[in-house]
Amino acid sequence: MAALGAACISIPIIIHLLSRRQRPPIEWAAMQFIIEAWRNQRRRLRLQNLLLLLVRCLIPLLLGFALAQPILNSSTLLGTSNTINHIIIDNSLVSGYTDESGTSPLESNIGSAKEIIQASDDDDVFNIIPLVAVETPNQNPTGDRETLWNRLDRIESMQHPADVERVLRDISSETTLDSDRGHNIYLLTEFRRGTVRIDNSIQDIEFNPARTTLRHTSPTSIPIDIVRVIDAEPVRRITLRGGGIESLVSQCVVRLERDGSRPPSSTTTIRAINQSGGETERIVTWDDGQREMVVDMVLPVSPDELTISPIVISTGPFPSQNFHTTVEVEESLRVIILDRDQVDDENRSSGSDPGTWMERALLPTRDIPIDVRRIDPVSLSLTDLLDTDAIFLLRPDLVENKTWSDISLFLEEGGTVMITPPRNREVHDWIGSMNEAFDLQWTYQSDTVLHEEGVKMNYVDTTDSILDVIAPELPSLTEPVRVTKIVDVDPGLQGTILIEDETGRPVLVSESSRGMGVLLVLTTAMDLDWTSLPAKPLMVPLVQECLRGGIQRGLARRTLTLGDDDWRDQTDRSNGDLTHSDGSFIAIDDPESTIDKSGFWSHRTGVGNDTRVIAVNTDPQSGDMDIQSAESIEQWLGGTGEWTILEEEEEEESGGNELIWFLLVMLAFLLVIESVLGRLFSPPDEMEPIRIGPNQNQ
Amino acid sequence: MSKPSGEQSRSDRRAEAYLAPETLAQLSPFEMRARMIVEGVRSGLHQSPHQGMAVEFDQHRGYVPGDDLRHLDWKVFGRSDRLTIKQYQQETNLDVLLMVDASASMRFGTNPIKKGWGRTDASERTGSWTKFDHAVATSVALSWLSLQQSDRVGLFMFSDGIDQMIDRSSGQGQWRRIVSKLNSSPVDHGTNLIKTADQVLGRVSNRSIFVLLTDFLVEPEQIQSTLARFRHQRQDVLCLQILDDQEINFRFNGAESFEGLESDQKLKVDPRSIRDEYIKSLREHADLISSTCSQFGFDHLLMNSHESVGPSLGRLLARRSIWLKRNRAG
Repeated sequence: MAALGAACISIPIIIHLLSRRQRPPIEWAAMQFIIEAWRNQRRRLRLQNLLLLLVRCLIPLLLGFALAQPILNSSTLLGTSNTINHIIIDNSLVSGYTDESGTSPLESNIGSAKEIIQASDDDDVFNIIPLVAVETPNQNPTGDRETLWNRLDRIESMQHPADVERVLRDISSETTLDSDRGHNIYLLTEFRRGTVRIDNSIQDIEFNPARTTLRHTSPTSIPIDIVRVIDAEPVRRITLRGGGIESLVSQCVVRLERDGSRPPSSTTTIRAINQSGGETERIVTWDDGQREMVVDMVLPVSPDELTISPIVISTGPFPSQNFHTTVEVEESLRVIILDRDQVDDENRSSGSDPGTWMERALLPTRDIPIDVRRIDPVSLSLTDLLDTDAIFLLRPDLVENKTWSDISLFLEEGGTVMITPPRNREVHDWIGSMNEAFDLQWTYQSDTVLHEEGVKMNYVDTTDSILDVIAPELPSLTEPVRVTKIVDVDPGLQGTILIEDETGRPVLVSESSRGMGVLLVLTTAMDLDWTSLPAKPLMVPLVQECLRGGIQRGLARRTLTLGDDDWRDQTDRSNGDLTHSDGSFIAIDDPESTIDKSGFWSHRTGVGNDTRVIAVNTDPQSGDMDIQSAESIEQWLGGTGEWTILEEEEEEESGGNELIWFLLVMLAFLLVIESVLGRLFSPPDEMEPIRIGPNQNQ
Repeated sequence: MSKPSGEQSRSDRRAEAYLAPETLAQLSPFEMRARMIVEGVRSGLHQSPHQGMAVEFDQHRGYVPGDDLRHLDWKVFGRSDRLTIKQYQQETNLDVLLMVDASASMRFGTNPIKKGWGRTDASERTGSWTKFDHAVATSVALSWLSLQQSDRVGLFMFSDGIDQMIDRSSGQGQWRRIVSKLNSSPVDHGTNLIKTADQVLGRVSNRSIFVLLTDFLVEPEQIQSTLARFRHQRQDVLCLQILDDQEINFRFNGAESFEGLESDQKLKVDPRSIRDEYIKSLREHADLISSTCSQFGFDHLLMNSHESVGPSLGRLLARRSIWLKRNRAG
């Protein structure tokens, strides 16, 4: 329309040219007076004509702009049949938060989308793109309003993390492929940190400005005060009925995060609820402006619970305010000690052989519910491993390849394996077999390293160690222990050194990167010729923690974050269903299946009727309600193209209305000016008769 | 309407159309010779060049030494014992020489021809009552009037020189010849007043009254030079400037293209935008002619070809009579 208005400029020019049309000339006698008058008036006439032409050109131009403005605003020109409108609707986790008004950002986004569609022409086509789509929707762009309304109304808030960059990249690819048409991209979101993390600018996406217009909604400036549970880590994920350390197993470390502009001091009630209705509660107090907090609380775990106790730690109803975890309740732990029972072994008879030392450490008192079985390494079968929680392999030198494979499988299924060198070997080629079985590349020295005077052991403080529970006591516990013999092993990056000797040689190494279970290698044998450890106070807590920590680490793997792609690894079977606590389920063997919501998902294990429970939580980042500045958003999006803000466009439209009025006033003014100038410059058609000559004066 | 002669030819009938009764009625009270009477008064002060011609008593005045005793009014002397001289007005047969501009510029006219109006070559070609038609109508009227007073009337039709002419005569057929010549003359060429004046004055030796009927659309210098020539020959000139109403008022509704009748000049312009300037120039031109005439003692009359010949011409002759009486009284 503006172009049409601009074209209308040509109207006065055409009129001007037509006025110069060839008319029959008037044969005139008094030419000298006309020429003289014209010469005298030429400059003035040219100026007048130019002025009039300018005014007359401005009139259609202003009229064109005045008419074009509302038409442009209604996107008539922008939404032609040669243009696809891609409307990206933020349906991420934070978009589902309902404030006091009762309207969620998602509903607002859908409303905005409908307004955009309603303001368009009937032949415009739209591509509705939920920002978070667990299953890739196969929806062709359409202009059918009913279909579009259905698509919009079906959009729900999803708990998966949003990936705006991926969506923009997909659209960018589409616009590149579909280069014949123009593309209007609308990004409807509040730009909270849960949806968009602007830590890194968008790379390698650039829309063609000639064919693509980019618009997004204004970043929200409304803070939401909410306390989210970022993490909850039970101190013990396993509790044993009748065990003597129940007070530890019900403890949990909870990490909280508080959103809002500057949250005032307040209190938050944290509730932990198990599926039997058991509930514990803790009230914490926030300082003014405090955003993060780590607190301990007691989980409602009872020895009377079933095998697995799902527990929700909650600060509110919103998904990001609930953290799901599990604690396993066992009658007892089942441990196999793989050792050769040598009848002629003096140590055996004296009770100082490694197997005995280990058994004592596992069962320091009679009431500890741990079932320990001793099996010869060559006698171990896969059946033996079915109900086993941990294997203590004291004679790796005797393990055959088949057994190594079984142990590897056990490890992959979440079992805990602890290996110590055989006390009666000076050459340790078994490490090579272990490397091969567990796909490790540890380097080692075959011969035993001898410290004749004995060396001390040191605890290596590492994060997320399985020895965390006894870490404070470890320095004092390791102090009296001496190591005389040791197998020199270097795990490189494939393992964590938990304890080392004074010479820096690893004494205890854990490796949990492969499979679900934990591999622990003690590089000194459970023999007093090798180390004084079996006879020292460290022995019992070290073995106990290696057992429980190892098992706990395996259980921790059963806690997932939404968006993790390896959820199938948490199941021990390739078929069946994964059932949510609300009754919905997904097929494990369906490659399209995705865990789409937080909560407890369970499935039958391949062994007996056992049920494995996977606690699924939202990504802590995806629940972040913090707002982000428009400048930072602009900077973040800036590399992709020139984005305009929808609300500002609307303001411009309302401003445009003012502009229209201004243009109309200017138009009226110009019309008046044109009329005045036209009248001024052109003598009236009614002209007074002229009297000339001396006879007329007398 | 009366006719100078009995037989009516086609040209007579056309000529009659120029002599509308009201025209003659407006002109008849005035005599063309009036100006010549003034000439006689002037000549009495010196020596009348026209002695022997018809004179008539004008007034008495006291005798002063040197007066011709033949002019003493003895009857007055007998009654009042005062010597009184009889003064006579010199009365002469006036030669009226009509100089009609037949240049192309005279072909302009915007007044549509109406039934019964006379027609000339110009009006036949344009379909309008042209300035030439108006000049012809005026000439016909004046010649009729002059011939009625037994004056001799001659005709010069000119453009860039004398195109056609009819020698002076007061004969009965003179008016018809004049009318016939006026009707049949083509109107084409440019105007050269100086050359025309030279040619005319070369043919006229006696004092005459020249009636110059033209639009005077020539350079002012040419007009001044022309009139100066007449003045130098002690001739009397009656300048009748004939313009079309459109030329005077310059009224148009929109842009027009103008082309010179006597030149190759062309111009496209909106006349409304230059009207004031045009009229100002035209007025200055007319004023210049008027002042030049006044300077030389000639009369100047601007005639609108859309108006009747009679009133304007009558006003001129009336003005001349008043001027005459004033001079007599003085």
